[in-house]
Amino acid sequence: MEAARAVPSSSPAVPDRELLARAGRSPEAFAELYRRHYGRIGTYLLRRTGDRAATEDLLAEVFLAALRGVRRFRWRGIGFDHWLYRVATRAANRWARRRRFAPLDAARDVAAAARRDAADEVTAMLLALPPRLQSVISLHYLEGLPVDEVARVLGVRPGTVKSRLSRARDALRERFGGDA
Amino acid sequence: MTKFEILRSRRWDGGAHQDQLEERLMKEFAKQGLLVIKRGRALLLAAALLALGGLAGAGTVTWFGNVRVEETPLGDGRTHVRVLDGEKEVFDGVLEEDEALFQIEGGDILTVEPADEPEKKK
Repeated sequence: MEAARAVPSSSPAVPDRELLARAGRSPEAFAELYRRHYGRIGTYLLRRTGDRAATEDLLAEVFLAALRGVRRFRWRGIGFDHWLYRVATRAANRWARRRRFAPLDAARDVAAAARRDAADEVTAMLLALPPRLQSVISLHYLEGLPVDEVARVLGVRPGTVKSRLSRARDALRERFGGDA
Repeated sequence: MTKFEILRSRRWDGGAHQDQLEERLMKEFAKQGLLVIKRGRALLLAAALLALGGLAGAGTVTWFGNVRVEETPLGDGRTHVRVLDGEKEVFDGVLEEDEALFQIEGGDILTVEPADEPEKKK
């Protein structure tokens, strides 16, 4: 399993930092930040959930939280994009926990299985892991964040990220063998 | 291409959702703005009362918690104001005669025009 390389976004004319300084008072500045990060956070949530409706709900949750928190945001250790990843990770983890205890719907599951493609299969494998292991696998292998950046997003030490990655890989191999 | 790479190639295309959510966020923004203005007016009133309370000349007062305000009249109606949060300077500027200072959310300090002054009670 190889980590994806994060694709550097083209450097925007106005840096996030500058927009953030105005975003508490200027709807235009906040809207620009929203447009800038909507796609990336949506992609992360879609890969985490494999579910379009859930991604839409979680995106709303993340950006409403961003709106409420934007005045309090301070540049301490992580940038705005990583802060959004943190909020999105928490939202996705809560969603994954709720999903585990959702009542079974056999008919829906059969219909979903019939539509499932290779990407859905990997999402299903990841969703079988505890949410904290899903987070590290997704942020590192799918979003392409290096270990130290994953650590900053999650607010843990790099060593903790490495050990969670190792446990996640073992769990995937154990459950899914060569498919993982 | 491995299954992981297939999942990695999946991208979110929000379509209409992006515009709908932006619209909703802007409505929320407007609501929050109203709340901030209301809170700002309350604090502005507090600042005005503070001034009436005897801060006619140069002086330092503790405004909220660790926040201290130093005011130095410049003699032409304007006032040099410094705001310190503990040891950290968070505002240093000159206010015109008809400007006041208020604080929003513990970090965001703005000057306001007379049009933003609190409405008189009817």
